Order: sequence, then structure tokens, then C-alpha cells
Amino acid sequence: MESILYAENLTRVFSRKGQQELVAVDHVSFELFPGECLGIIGESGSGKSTIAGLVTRLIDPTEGRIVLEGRDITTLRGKELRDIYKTIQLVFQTPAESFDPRCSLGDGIGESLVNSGMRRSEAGREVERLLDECGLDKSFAGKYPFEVSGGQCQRAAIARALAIKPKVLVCDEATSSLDVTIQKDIMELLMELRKKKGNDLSILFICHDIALVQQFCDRVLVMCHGRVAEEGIPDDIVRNPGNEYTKRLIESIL
Amino acid sequence: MKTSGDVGKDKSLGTRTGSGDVGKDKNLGTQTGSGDVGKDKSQGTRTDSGDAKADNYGANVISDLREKGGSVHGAIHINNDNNSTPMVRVQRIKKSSVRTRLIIFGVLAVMLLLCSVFCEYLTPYDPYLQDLGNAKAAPSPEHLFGTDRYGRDMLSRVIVGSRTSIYSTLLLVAIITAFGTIIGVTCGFTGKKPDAVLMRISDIFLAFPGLVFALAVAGVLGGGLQNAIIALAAISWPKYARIARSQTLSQKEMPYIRAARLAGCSNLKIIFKHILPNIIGPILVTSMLDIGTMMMELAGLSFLGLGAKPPTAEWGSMMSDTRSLLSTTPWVTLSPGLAIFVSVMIFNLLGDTIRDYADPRSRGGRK
Repeated sequence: MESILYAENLTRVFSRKGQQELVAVDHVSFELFPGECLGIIGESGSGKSTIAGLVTRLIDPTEGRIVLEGRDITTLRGKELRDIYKTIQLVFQTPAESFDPRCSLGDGIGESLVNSGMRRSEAGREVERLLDECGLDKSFAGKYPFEVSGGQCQRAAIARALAIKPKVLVCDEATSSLDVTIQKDIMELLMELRKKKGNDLSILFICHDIALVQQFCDRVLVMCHGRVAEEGIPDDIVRNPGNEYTKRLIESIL
Repeated sequence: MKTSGDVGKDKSLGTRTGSGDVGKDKNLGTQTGSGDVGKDKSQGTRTDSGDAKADNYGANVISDLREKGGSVHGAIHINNDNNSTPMVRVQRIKKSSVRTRLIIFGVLAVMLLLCSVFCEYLTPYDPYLQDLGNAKAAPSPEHLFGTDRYGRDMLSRVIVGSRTSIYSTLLLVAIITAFGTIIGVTCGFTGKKPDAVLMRISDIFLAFPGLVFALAVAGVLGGGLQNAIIALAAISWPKYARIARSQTLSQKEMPYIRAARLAGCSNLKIIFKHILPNIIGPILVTSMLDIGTMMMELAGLSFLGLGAKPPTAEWGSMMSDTRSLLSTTPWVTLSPGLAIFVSVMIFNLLGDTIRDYADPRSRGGRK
């Protein structure tokens, strides 16, 4: 089976005058297959979020190649770059801040639809359907991000990411800022979506909680200091960690 | 326990907008002295000095508050009463009151503008007609603001002066706001070379003492109102560029800008739809406050002979010309001063209201 998202030797170096260079992501390669959920775990500073930025081209890679649906997107610019967001979408770590405080949730969710040429009234109906799909009442379309709770906001953010019907969904610590019960709700929503969309939706699930990854992901990459420390089936890795860092990570949650 | 000040704080707006818990909060306020976090701290320090009783009481108060489901802070209240989901209510100005203010000050500002547009038709006398026999007359039913030393009707002169003063000030502020914002947003958004070049240019303008530079510009270009406006615009735009740039920089890295990118927005669309609405508040308020300053500076240049030329009625120059008469015939100096005061006030209040209205947080979207 051909991979839908393929990253090869992805590297990002942050450098600033007078400061030491920081290699956030160091020659990371991975493949994401259609319908699969690939987890990326690691402690903070291990480069997980940078990977989310790199594969969505919000951050430019220093080195390496990103292939989306067989197309090299590493150096795209302008209109061509904007077009990749019809295939790949990102759910942010901080739900409240990922919505423009001056726009209603409905406008935020429907923005990608309007930008891709859908009429406003039609987009409005689609937004209501998406809200419903993500377990929110349609009245949320008219609310502002500061009026809803974190969990509701994250549901809206997932609705926004799914609006354009992407094939790849990158969840960058999508549940980290939420409390445990809401976290469970969001995970259930994601699982339901996976079941419904089957091979049409692949998820890159970035997380620091190995228990969540074990439940949810088909494969997992363990990141450590910008490198891939280990890769495999989550259950195998939990049972039989092959790496010092993975061992510590598992011990820390048990 | 020091009560008075804290209780007052506790009863502030945030509590009042609440539906059911006004009484409860007041009650708590009087019982405990306050629900203020700062207060709790002060009780903590008392324990250190050995007053165990006070500490005990403080602890009871806090647990009391917790049991009643109230928040310990004055501004934020957790409301479990009338909704099934717990919601945090943030202190906010009511939508209706903001709208009322907007209408009031908007209407007043529009009246000022209409007054300056149709000033010729509103004057009871010819503002330039001299009547030396009736010079320096005190305010009377015929001449509400009195007459100046040439016997010209002050009310008419003030009304006619509104054209020069308000018109040119608004034009000036509009120019510097638009120009400064464009430069600032461009700098903040693109960064790198254009940013460095444009910001150094603005530094150069900022390095000169304002009015002196305006004098030099007006001196080179020659006198006249138009040149005074150009001179003041040249020294005032960097302030707006600075504000717009720093605001843009802080908004640019927000996740919602990245989200807009993910929604397929082009750079221009991001600037106009997401960055500008989020940074325009402070810029608008600055420009509204600047209306007063600019009115005064234009008047200053007029006084120095580089702005409006006499006998053109202009509030600032009218004040400057007659300042020697302040002790003998104060109405001649004070009436244009009153006009400046009133119009500056209206525009300042309008600016504040526009800022409140533009921010959905204070518009109170939740029903």
C-alpha cells in the first residue's frame, strides 16, 4: 500500500544570532498509510510539535523531503501551498487560541470552505452538519471562542479541521490542555470519526501520554531529542521497550 | 478586618450583572470583609506575627466561600445555579450600555461634523464683519459669546472656526493613522529587510523634536494650513507605525493565524481579516486621543504664523491671538477654548466607546 504522507530525513535547525543552534528535529523519517493512526510520543522539547509544523508546512524544513499523496510539497509556495491544506489539516494544542477572538466559531469552521469557493449560505449549513458530527449543538456556530469551554472549543477545532474533508489529520497534543474527562470525550470523538471515515482519514497523533497512544494508535514513534528513538506497535513497545528513554517514559506513567 | 474598601470592590459591576447571586455575594462581602485574594494574603501575614485567631477566621472564610460554590476572586464568578454546564462569567460591560454610549457620542460627533460642514448657514452674524463700536462686548442675548476686540461676533467665529479646526484635524489624523498602520503592519508581517529599513526611517523622524521639525517643514514648504498638515503628518506617523508593528508581531505568532493559513487564507486575507481587526483597537484609541493633540498642535503652528492665516477663524489661533485679553475680556479667549474642550472630549469618548464596541468580549455575546 502506498503511503499518504511520507517524510524523509526531516530536519529543522533553529538558529539565532549569538545563540547555540538548536536541532529540534534531526533526520526523522516516517510513513503514514491510508486509514492508519500513527502516534508520536516524547517528552516536551523532543521535537513533536515541530514535526506537526513541518508536515503542514507552517514551519520550513532545513533539510529533508515531505511527500503528500505522492506529491513533493517541501518547497511549495503561494497558491500551490494553500492547496495542500485541502488534504492535510492540523488540530492545535491550545483550542481557545486557535480561533480568532473576533470571529464566531461558525465563521472559523467555515473559513476553509468559503476560501475554497463555497457560497456562504451553503457553508453555514455545512458548518451545522460538522458541529453535529463533532457533538456540538448548532447554536455554537454563533458563539465566540471565549464563550465556550476548552473541550467545546476543541470539538469545534476538530470540526474545523474536518470541514474541508482532509485525508490527513495532524493532532498536535489535541487533548493535552484539557482535563481528563473531556480528554476522554475528545478521544472517543476521534475514534468514532476514524471508524466512520475508514481509509479516507489517516491521523498523525502527537501526544506525550503513552496510555492514550496505546489505546488509539496502530503504530508509534518514540521521539527523544529530535530523533526517533524507537518505532513499532504500541503494545510491543510498552511490554518490551528497547530503549532507555522509552523505559523511563513507561515507568513514569505506571 | 478592614472592610469598607474591599466590600465596595466586591459589589462592583462583575457581581451585579449576575442574576441570582447578587444578594449572596453582598452577604458574603459583609460577613467576611471581602472575597478578595489579596485580602487572604494579608491574613496570612498576620499569622506570621502570631495572631492565630485572625488566621483561623481567614481560613474559615475561605472554606465558607468554597462550600457556597462562590469564587474567591471578585471579578470571576462560577455560576452553577441556572445552567446545567458550569460556566465562568467574566466581568463585562453590558452590550446595551456600550451601544447607548456609541449612539450618544456618535450623534454628538456627527453633529460637530455637520456643524463644520454647514457652518456658513449656522452663524447668526458674519464672522468677519467688524463692528468697532461694539468691540469687547460681554456675552449678551444678542452676542451669546460676546464680541472680540474688532467687534466680531464670537459665536459666529467659533462656529466658522469649526471648519478649519475639525476638518483639518480629522484629515490629519486619518492620514497619519492610515499611513502609519500600513507601514507598521507591513513591517511586522514581512519582517527582515523591509522591516529594518522602514523602522530606521521612522527612527529618523522620531529623533527630531516634533514641533521643531514641523516648524522646519512648514518653513521650507511655506505657511498655510495645507503645509501645516503635511508637516504634522510627517512627524506623527512613526508612532502609529510602531504601535501597528508591535501589535502585528504579537498577533502574528498566535495559533489562530496559523489556523487561518491552514484554512487556505492568503497573506493579504490574513492581514485584512484576522490581523487588522485584532490590532485596530489600540490604534483607533490612539488616533481618537490624538485628535485633541493634533488640534492643539495645528493651533500652535497657526499661532506661529505657519498654519491658518488671520483673519481665518481657527480655534487655536483665535485663542493664541487673544491670550493678552484673558484678564479683561475672558470670553474672547475662553469661547474657542470651550469649543476645543468640548470637541476633544467628544472624540475621546467616542474613541473609547468604539474600542469597547469593537471588542466582542465587551459586547457580551452570550444570551
